[in-house]
Amino acid sequence: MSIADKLSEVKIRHLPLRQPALVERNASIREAIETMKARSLGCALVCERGKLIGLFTERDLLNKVIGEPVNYSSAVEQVMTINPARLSMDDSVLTAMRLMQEGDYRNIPLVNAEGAAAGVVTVRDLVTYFAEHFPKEALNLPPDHDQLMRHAEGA
Amino acid sequence: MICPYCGHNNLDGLDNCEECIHDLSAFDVPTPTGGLQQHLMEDTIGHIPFDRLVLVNPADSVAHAVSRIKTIGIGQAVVVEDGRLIGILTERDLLNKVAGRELNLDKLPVSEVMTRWPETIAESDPIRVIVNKMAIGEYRHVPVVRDGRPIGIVSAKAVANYILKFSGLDF
Repeated sequence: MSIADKLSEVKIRHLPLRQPALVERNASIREAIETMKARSLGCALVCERGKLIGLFTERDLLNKVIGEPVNYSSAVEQVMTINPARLSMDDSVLTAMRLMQEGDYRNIPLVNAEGAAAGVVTVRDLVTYFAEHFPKEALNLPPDHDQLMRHAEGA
Repeated sequence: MICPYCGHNNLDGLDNCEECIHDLSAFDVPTPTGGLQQHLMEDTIGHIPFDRLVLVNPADSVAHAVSRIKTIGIGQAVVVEDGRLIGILTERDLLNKVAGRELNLDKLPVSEVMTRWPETIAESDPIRVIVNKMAIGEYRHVPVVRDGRPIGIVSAKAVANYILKFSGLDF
């Protein structure tokens, strides 16, 4: 099967996605930041009664919060990206790659049929998927004589 | 694999023929079969468009670094000392070490927030090396260095776009 066929057949739900960071629209910016840190994610999905209404990303944090006269107790909805591009769990990995390229996104929220926030797919998920599923191309490197292990074996 | 010297059928991956002990290691190196695989194995990092580079000094304030990267519209600054790379200040560093804390960013030096000695890559490395590093190390931005000096940044996004470009699909 060609790489193109595989990328268009595999659905986003088949990726080992991490639990998304979810916050309500009236949650504070601080709360959103803590949720992102706890999940090691670069974005939080902002919801209103479970439905996705916005996305707060590291880029929003950089551009609208850090070094700006913004109070961390303010509601996250004041600094989020409103109505972000979204996909469903049943869209293909290829669709996610294309949307990331077209929109210049690093994170795409995933919603179910009712519009409820269900997850997030990141550019790192896609690169990792690619490396793991095309090992001959990506991971099977010839030996590198300069390579050193970070830890002694068994340590 | 069949030994080219004596014809003995060896198990794959052996360094020497079990029969005639000739060195077989040179025959096991993977070779590309075409398409994307060929691009990943033969194209080098120099084929990927680099993100713009913002250079700051370790003693610069975080406020200064943030203002520089915001002006350019990217997400990270590379930290240099005497022109040599010693660290990187990324959005993730700002999220984890700065956001939500009462800090005076004009007084906080970049050296206290940056990630020291990040993984780097050379222009001449094959592209699969960066795919490998990003997948295993979970990095999103890897500085490209030439003789210890940064010349660009490769982002996970640029790598994903590159894979898309050569995955055999028409765009």
